[in-house]
Amino acid sequence: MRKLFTLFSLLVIASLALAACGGADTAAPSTGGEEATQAPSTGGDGAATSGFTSKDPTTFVAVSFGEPDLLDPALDYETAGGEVLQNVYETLVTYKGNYLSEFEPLLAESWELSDDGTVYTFKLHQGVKFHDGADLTASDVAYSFVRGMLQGGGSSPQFLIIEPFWGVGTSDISEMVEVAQVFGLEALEDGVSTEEMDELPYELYDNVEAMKEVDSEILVGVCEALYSRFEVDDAAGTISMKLALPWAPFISTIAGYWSAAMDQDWVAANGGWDGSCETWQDFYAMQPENDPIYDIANGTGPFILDHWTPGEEIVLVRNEDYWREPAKLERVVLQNVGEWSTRFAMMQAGDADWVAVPPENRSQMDALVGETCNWDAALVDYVCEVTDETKPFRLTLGRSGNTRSDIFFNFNVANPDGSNTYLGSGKLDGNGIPTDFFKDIHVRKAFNYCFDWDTYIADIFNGEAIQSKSLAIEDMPGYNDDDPTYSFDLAKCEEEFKLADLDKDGIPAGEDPEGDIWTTGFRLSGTYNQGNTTRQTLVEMLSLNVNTVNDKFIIESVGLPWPAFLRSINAKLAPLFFVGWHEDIHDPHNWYVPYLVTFYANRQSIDPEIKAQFVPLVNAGVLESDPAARNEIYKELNQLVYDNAPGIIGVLSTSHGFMPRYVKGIQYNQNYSNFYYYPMYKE
Amino acid sequence: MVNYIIRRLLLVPLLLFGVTILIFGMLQFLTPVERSALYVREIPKNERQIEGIILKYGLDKPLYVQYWRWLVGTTDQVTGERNGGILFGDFGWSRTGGQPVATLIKNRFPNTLDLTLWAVGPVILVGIWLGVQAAVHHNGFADQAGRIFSIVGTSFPTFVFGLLMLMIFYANLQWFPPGRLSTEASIVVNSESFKTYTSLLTIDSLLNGRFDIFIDTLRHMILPILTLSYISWATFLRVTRSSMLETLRQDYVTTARAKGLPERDVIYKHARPNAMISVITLAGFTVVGLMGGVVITETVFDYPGIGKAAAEAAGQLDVVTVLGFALFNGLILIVANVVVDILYAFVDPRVRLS
Amino acid sequence: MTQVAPTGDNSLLAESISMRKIGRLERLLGPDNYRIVVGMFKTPASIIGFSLILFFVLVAIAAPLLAPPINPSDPYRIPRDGFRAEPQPMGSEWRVRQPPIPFWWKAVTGEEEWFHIFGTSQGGYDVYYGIIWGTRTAFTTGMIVVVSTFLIGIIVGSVSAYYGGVVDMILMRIVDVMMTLPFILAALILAAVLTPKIGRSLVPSILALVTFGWMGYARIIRGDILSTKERDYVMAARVIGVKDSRILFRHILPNAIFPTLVLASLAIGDVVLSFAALSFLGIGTEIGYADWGQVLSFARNWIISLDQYWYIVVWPGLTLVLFVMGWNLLGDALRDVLDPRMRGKS
Repeated sequence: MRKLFTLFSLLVIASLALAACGGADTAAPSTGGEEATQAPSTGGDGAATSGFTSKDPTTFVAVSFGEPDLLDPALDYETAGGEVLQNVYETLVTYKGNYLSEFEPLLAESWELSDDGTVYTFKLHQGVKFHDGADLTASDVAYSFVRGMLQGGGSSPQFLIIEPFWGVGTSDISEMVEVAQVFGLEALEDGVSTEEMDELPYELYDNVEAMKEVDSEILVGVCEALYSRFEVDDAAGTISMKLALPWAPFISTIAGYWSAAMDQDWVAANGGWDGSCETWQDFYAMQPENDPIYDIANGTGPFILDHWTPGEEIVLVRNEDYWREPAKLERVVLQNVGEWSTRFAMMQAGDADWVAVPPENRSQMDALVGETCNWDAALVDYVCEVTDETKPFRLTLGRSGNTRSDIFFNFNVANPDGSNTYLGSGKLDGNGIPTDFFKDIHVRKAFNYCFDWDTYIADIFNGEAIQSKSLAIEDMPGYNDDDPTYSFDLAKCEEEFKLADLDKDGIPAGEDPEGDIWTTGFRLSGTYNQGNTTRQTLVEMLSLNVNTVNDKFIIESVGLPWPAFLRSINAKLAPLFFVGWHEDIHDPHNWYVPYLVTFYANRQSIDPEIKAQFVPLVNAGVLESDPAARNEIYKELNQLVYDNAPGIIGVLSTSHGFMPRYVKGIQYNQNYSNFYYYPMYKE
Repeated sequence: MVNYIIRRLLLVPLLLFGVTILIFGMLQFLTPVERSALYVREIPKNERQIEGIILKYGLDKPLYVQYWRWLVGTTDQVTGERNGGILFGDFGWSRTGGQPVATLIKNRFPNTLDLTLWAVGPVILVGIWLGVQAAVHHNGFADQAGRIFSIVGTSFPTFVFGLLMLMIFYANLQWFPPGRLSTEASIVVNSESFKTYTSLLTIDSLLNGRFDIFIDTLRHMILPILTLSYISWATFLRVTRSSMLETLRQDYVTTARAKGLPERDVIYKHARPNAMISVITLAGFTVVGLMGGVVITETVFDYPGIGKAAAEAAGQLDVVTVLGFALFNGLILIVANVVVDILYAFVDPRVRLS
Repeated sequence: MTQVAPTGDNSLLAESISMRKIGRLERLLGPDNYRIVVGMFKTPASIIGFSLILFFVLVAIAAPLLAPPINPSDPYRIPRDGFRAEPQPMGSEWRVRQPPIPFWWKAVTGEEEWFHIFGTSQGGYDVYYGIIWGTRTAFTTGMIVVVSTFLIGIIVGSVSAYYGGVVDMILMRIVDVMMTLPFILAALILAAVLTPKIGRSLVPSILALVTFGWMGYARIIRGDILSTKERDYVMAARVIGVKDSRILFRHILPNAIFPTLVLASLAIGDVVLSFAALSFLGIGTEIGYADWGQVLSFARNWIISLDQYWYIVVWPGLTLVLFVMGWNLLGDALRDVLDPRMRGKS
């Protein structure tokens, strides 16, 4: 009997191995592909026909990962919620088709701009109704803008709107409250100047409790000052807005869902702010758990929020009383599935119409593509060609994206009690770096020359990316093919390292008899948020090249969990960090400001002298409305950025999207959060 | 016996207190900024945003202050309104779940219960049957086969097993999809006409007379049930087997045999009931083990139960949510133990006497 | 307890009592423990188990020969052949940064250059290298966790059993509290908390598994000691006035510990599984560290296209399953031997 058992054990082991190998033998890749291609047609009449049909032509199922924070258009600031909001709510203006910087009216019939460029007047469509049946009025629109700005807070996108209304550099209503406290309410009338901003204590920012204790006269005054910017005529259906400055990207700013029109009565009836200047402070900087309308919605859009089951799905149903033609799709189901394998399986089984495909898994989908579309920049559309009638997917290629991962140097790393381990020993002794390591322009340039864009593009993006020419991205002022860029050159990298002078004795490292960076070497940590394989590869590539130039140069790749990464950046502990930016609006201002003035610039502790060169150009750029003139300003700025090299500018990946061929009417606009379902339909 | 159960129930608050302190204690390894990461998805535009979060949630307060906040909530200085407080029945807000913790558990637990009920039944019945067979045919074919099954079973990582199941039965055969319901079924379930009685979809669908929904629910549950069961089967089989073997050697069994009773009666009437004593203990453990097992299984099959929600909350250090689950899980565990004790009293005469 | 060798002339008894020779090992371990050790080598199942484990031990020892590291001071970093996401098939050419060629390479493969024996997984990581060096990781983590949990278990269990009363009450309530949380969830939280502090490495997972892994041993040891306490020889020692601590360390512990120790050492398989589970849930070693769980989780996104990329799941998966199965086979045989009710049978 024991023998029998032994035999069995062996059999099991053998069968395990056989099953494994057998799987490969019996199912060659081609069969796998065939099976998969047949999958979506199970609901139709077989795979022989050229058109692939979906299981249910009236319902669109999109499967992605990530969950909305909340469904309040003024406060939500991420794409999962944005996708719902842009289909349920509507804005005055919206993007025109595939264009990123051309707009068309939506809730507004038309708009005009005053001669001085600061007053926009919108004429509203008549007969627009909210989902609950109430009429949209001009007061509702004004209320929505005021509500957004007053409730704002650091985790909302309202800083985008605050800035044109209050002045360059402003970002939150708390700053206006503080200006009123310090300079009096009169100071608010003509907006806020940079000098005034410099003197604020910034103690109210996101501080809910402190905001409630501010003198009520000031609170009411700030609220009224804000209301006074809007002139409303409900009878005529017009609303005009007065900005603090002529703001070039204003229309693109208010095309985002964060400027959507809400119904004042509905918000108040559900426990939200009723529009009264006496109580707004109770609603400032709300977190989702305090927002009474976090999971309900009442917009004017083509779809109605049916239900949201957190962690599972959000279902939108068609608005039959929509003020335009009702949408073609009856129902949109947005499912949340974290596991790629599961999403892919759903796609194969025809249970999903669209799934989010991670870049590293594209090859699995490529096998199912029967129609390839390439981006044509002149046509502003994809040009398609059917390559294989039997395969179910359409592949869209070649449009450059609006997200970029970059590398940042910290000019003056914090080192409390010498405990910052990212600096190694904290000294230039071969086992670490001093805190001001990246203050040396030659070091920054050397790092730039040591970065291999071509390999990065070939290996990570499979060749589907281009080196970014400037901080701005393609298709906007400030992006020119002849802007100066660094290129991979190990000889120049070495040369720059030899020119560096880190012991500050005035002798370049290459000739320094006492030893300097070239002879002692260095060790530092390059940090990124763990799980982001693209950024991990960025570090490893840079590390490898720097090490090739001199084997005493060591960059350790350190993937940090989100809490630790957040701390390392917030406390300015990371000497070399890898993060990215996803544009909010398609405008250079949305790129130059975070990189050169606020956000990253602060985290990098960029030298004040260098920053002082950037700021006037950044400010001039946003106030100039003529694109050509703007481009000239930004061109000058690009040269400055090149000369000072505050970071390494990465690459712009180009699109690589999949959609079943039976889905039509898609608007390809990266500034939408995922899809705008109104024009979409299934064949 | 009653005294014993009362004593155990008195321990419950102490245990739950201990668990919550333990979780709070673990969080103290992190600095306030690191703990604020739960509330900040992106690198904040302004450093002060993090200070605001820390202030709002009191993340920089000492452990006992934070614990007290969680117990009794906070009171608004201006309006005097109370906010939160577990002692006032408010479990708090689940950041990862995007809803109040109590709602989250209420929404998710029926799904997990549905799953575990379907998984426990087969595990216990099949496990016991296999175990008895193995013991009766000690060293025979059934015994050896069961042995191999249990060894191979316990050597497989759950997630690899689960993903292989998905590959075969979903990607290739398209029999059993992941998730909870298909889109069509979900539309029906979320409609007005579908009445909710127990929140357990398998039962509710039958009560509503919707057999199609019942089938759809089961199709989504079969793979998770299989994955959840196979390890427990292995353990169950082993315990039943050895317990049964032991009983078969007892003197009274020999006596029964000597009396000339048929072997069937000896095994099923005399030996098996006694062998069940240790099996009951194990059944209690199995329920508890399943609660742990659902974490990975639900994640793999994207099944919206509390295991998946708990894993997400734990991974993102969402302490409020984890505390809610810990309390809930502790309660279930304690209830399971008490039930086991009572069952003991029924099965084992010795316990009844003492 | 030392065994007294039989002395004197027992030949007269030879006819009435069957006598057998007592070997040195048996004398050293005592008859009960000796039976356990012998039992481990007696059945075919346990022999297969032993062979599997021995095989893995050899692989771990010979790792530098089987897969020479590029940088000998950092051998656990899996070499990457470029950064491509798509897995490369078995036997594909190694494009960049080849590790040194081992001496047996040409003789066995007949090739001049390295190729990817088991292919590469997502991100260009060589699967073969990860498996070979992952064996060392598996043994290291398994050993550390088992030894630490066992030591903590012994200390807590014996203190609890020995002192009894309030101490026992408090310690056992702590054990209860820690067992209230599901193990994997508790370990997940602790590892998630520790990772930002310690960094992504083996340490957080090890600490988490140790912290929530010792309670079972503490209970068993406590139970064993309580029952050993009542044994005759302990009573006898107490009567003749031997000190309490001496009784605990010289008499009770050695007799109570050995069976548990053997079982504990077999838990290495379970530890490795728990590690893999933590890796799957996103908590584990730094990316690119040779660890089976990690190599498997690289495969996570491709498992559904297994017909094409099967090698990135099957080889690390098979390795992991065989490793765990080795310990389980051994453990199964041992459990039979240890079970006192089985004494004298089969």
